[in-house]
This record gives sequence, structure tokens and C-alpha cells, in this order.
Amino acid sequence: MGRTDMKHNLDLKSAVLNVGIPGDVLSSNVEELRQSVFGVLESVEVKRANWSTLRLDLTAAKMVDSAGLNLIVSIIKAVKARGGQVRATVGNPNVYRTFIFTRLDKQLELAQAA
Amino acid sequence: MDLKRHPGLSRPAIPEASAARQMKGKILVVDDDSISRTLLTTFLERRDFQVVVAEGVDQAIALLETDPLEGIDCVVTDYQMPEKDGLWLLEWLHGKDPHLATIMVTAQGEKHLVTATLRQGACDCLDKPIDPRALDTAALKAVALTRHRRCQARAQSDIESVGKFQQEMVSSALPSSGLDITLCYRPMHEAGGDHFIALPLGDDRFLILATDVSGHDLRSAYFSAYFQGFVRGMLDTQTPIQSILERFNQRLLEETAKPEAAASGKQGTSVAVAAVLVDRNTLSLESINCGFPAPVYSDGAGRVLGLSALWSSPLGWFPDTVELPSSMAIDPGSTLYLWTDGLEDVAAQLGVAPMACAFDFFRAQAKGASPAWIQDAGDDILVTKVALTPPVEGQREFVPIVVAWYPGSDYERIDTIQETWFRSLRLALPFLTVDRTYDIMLCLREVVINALKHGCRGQQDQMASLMISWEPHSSLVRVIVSDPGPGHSFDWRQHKQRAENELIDEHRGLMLIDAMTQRFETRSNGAWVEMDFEIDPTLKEMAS
Repeated sequence: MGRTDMKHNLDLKSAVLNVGIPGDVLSSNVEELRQSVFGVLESVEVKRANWSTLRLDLTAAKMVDSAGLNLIVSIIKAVKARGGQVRATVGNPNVYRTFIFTRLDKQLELAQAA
Repeated sequence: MDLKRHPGLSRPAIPEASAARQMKGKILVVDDDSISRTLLTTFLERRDFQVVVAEGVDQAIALLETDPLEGIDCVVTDYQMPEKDGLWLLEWLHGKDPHLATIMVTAQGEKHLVTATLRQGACDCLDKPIDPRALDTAALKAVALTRHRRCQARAQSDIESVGKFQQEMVSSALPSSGLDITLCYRPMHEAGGDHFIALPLGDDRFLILATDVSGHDLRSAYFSAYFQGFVRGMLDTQTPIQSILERFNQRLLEETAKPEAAASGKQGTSVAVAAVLVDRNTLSLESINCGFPAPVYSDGAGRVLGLSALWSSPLGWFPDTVELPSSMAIDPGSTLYLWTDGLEDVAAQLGVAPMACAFDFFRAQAKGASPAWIQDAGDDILVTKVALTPPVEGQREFVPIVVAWYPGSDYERIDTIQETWFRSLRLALPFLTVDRTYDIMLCLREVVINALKHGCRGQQDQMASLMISWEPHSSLVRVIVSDPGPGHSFDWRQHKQRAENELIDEHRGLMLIDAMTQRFETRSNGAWVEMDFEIDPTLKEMAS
């Protein structure tokens, strides 16, 4: 399974790791996304860097299903394990509702893009 | 044509012998110049054409308005005439009888008229002085063209009559059956091979017979009528429907095996048939399917079944025996849906479930309209719904939109399948909001993935079923998903609560479904899931 074309960058000034998810987060692509996201989190550069917030850009996602939510839970766990926090930005109001319905807004900082 | 009533008209003497000769056609010659007129007439009569003449446009019109144009096979007219010219006459003739071929005779220097003449529907344009051979060729061609066009027009009219009669036959069979039937029929041409009848058999028993004859032309329409007559006749002799179908299959195979059929190189006729015997006393039905799309049974509460357990080939294909009827109990308030494969083809083109197309067709017809996609149909389409029992007072009516069966291995193509649900819902319920559509899609996805992955264990030979239906009075979308698995014994509410409070990576699908549906119910340890989605009724009213 190949990796998704996912963009990331480290903003060491603000201690933020930015990760952009290129589209929907669904059962059909979640394994590729998992490899991509954890590939970044486990890279030597990111592991050694001094960042405390993972900013997850989900503005391109029009649908996130339970498999996608489970991936986000895994990401939250991994970031919390290193003492960090996750901030997610969503664009689609239905994706926003999905996070609210599943209480994930209690586990991360959720924002809706204007 | 009575020339005595037209004193200005003259007819050259016709030798007695020519009356006995086979005339090649009747030609009206219009020319103000008596020499030209005589030359044309003499020549044409010598070539065995029957000729009538007019000295100008007004005389020609007077003649043709009194006597029908059908008697004339060709008009040869001069262009240059006093008062009205030949072009004017051509225009008038084209309006009166577009099938009548005409020849325009022009003088030197009038070449520019050729295009205009042909635009008015003239068959040919001849220069003066007339070359007799050119005139003969042009006259023969014009007469043949007129006759061909008229023959085609008559055939078209006949086909339209057959089509109209077929529509009347189908419609008139419905009220007399005693069943509540809605039927939408759209032959590709004026008449087609799809047919439907519902025959009362006495004692509150009925035979529902839907047929699709190969091809979609006049021959198919005749053949379809012949088959219906064959069935009716055999039923009168108390022959069981299975035997009737076997005999007809035999007859078709015999026809195909005839040397003349083989020599013609034409493919033999085949007939796809769905026969359903309904017994309202015992609340049961028996169905036989010979190559027809599986009829769909709806219990009226959102549960839908396909009557396709046993399936024989279309009649006329193989010397197989027709499978024994399969039986099932029916529910009060239940409905049967049948459609020919033309609907399945158009549904595939649109990327929607066939039931969604049927839904759209019924709705459009109720409004006296046709669905937008009907113009793209490449085959005859017949769709019908039959109320199997009298209506049950107070019972809600769930109308199916999607009825589908998926093998466990379809888990891999869930995104494509989801697209089909989406388009089907958009077609059937265009007033659904984006938000509500999202809720339905997401919950459907969760439940179907679970059924395919766990209930069917991803296996090709294990099937999960999906039913999406609409209840207009309650403004409710109901989804039922079932799989053959043993389910999973657990209290989903407890699991949901745990997922709400803890950072666990499971059970969030349950939370979504619980939040997005108005009713979520499971049976058989979750192998059967029902979800209801209420839709804002004002949206429905706004859309209608």
C-alpha cells in the first residue's frame, strides 16, 4: 500500500507540527493515511524536534467515517504519549458535526475553518 | 379525377390500347405554354405515364383541392408562368403533401433556381429544351420516390396504430383485474415487445405476467400479443403456468430450428417472462422467472425481497425445463414491483439503483410527465407495481428506492457503491439537504461495511442485503441492512458510552448512527440493522 500525498512542516518557532490531510478520511484510504501520518511522526527529524502541538489540517475532507475517526484517535494517543496536544481544523460542517457526535472535540482542540 | 369539372383542363386523347397497358404512374403537368404542355404530355404518355394537365398554378390548385393528391404520383411544372410561378406551386404542394415528388422545368438562364427548387422539396430540375431520356428517368425516379414515401408513411401510421392499441390493451387489462396496479410503459419506438397483464383466476387468485420479447419493433409487439393470447388460451384449459411456459419454449425452439429460419440468418425470438401467482386467501404467492429481472417484493414496512431464488433461461434459448415455482407468504399491505431490463440498462447508465429509476418514473407519471432520463433509454421500458392485498388501514407505505445485494468481497469497492446510493437518493428524493444526505450516507457506509467485513467475512459467496425506502406520509427514510453472519453479542449502548468517555479506537460508528438517526434498532445480534432518518416535511412540500 502506497503513501498518500500528504504535506507536513515543522514550525519550530511556534513548536507546531503541521500535517495536511489531502482529502476524505475513510475506511478505503485510512491505511495509506496511517502510514503517511505515522511515517511523519516517527521520522527522526520530527521525533527529535521540539514541538508540542500537532496541527491537523482536515479542511479538504468532505467525509470522515468511523475508520477515519479511529485513525485520528490513534494520532491523538501518539501525540499525547509525547506530552503534546492535537488541534484539528475542519472545513466541512458535516465533518465538524461528526467530531462533535463522537465526542472527539473533548479529546482535541477542534476548529472550523471560515 | 373528374376533368369535366375543370373546363380549363385538357387531356390529350389516349389511344384505347394504352388503357390496357400497365401505367407507370399518374403525373400532373403544369405549364402555361400549350406547345410545351403538349410535348411533355405526349412524351410522358408514350412512356406509359397517365397524364393530367393544368394551364397554370391556379388551375393546378383548383384541380388538386377538388381531387385528392393521393392519386397523383408526380408533378412536372414549368417555372416561368404568369401570376404564380413554379416555386410558389412547389411550396404549396409541399405544405399539402410532403411525400409528393416534383420536377421543375427551367429555361436557360434560370440555373440559379435549382437550389431554391430543391430546397422546396423538388426531386429534380430539368432544362428546356427537355431531353426526353432525362425526363423519362426523372419521372420514373419521382414516381418511385412518391410511392416509397407514401408507403413509409402508411407503415408508420400502422405502427402508431398498433402502438396505441398496445397501450390501450395494457391499460384496459388493469382495472378489470381487480388488483390495484400502477404501470409505466415507454416503448422505444411506437410499439414494443414489453407487455404486462394481470388475470383474475377466480377465488381471489391472480396471475401476474410480465414479458419482454427480444427486439423492440412491430414484430416484437405482435409476438408479445401472440404470447399473451397463447397463455390466456392455455389457462382456460387449466394448464399450469409452468407447463404453458415449457410448451411455448418448445414452440420457439421448433420455429428457430426450421430450415427457412436458419436460411434467413436472423436470430430466433426469445421471451423473458416473470409469472407470479397471487393467492389472497392463503396470503401466498408462487413465482416463476424465465430470464426476467427479479421482481421485488416489499412488505410495506421497508423489508424488501427479490423473487429470484430459482431462475430459468428466457424462453427460446435452450430446451431446459422451466423451474418449479418458488413460494412465499405475503404480508397484508405488501407490493410487488416488476420491470423489464430496459430499466436496468438506463439505471446502469445513470449509475443509480433500478428501483430509484422506477420510483422516479412512477412519480413523474403521477404528475402527467416523463422522467428526464427517458430520452436516453435504449430499449423498451415497462415498470409496474401491484398491490398484492387490499390496503391495510393506518399502515404506512414504504416505497423502495434502493434494493441491492452485495457479496462480502464488495467491501473493497465501498466508495463506488456509496456513489450509487448517493445518486439514487438524489434522483428519488431531490429535496434532501446536503446535511441529511451526509447523515444517511455515513450511517449506511458504517452499517454496510460491518455487514460485508464481519457478517459476510469478506467472502464472495456471502451476501448482505440493503433496502432504502421512503415513507412519504411520515417523511421518513428507512434503511435496513442484513447479513448472513451470526452477529456479535454485545450491548451497543454500553460500548457507545465507553467510546464517549475513553480514547478508544472503536465503536465510534455506533455513536454516529445513534446521533444521526431517529431510530436505530438491531436484531439477530446486529446481523439485521434498521435505521430511520426523519426528513423535514416542509422540504418535501417545497419540492412538490
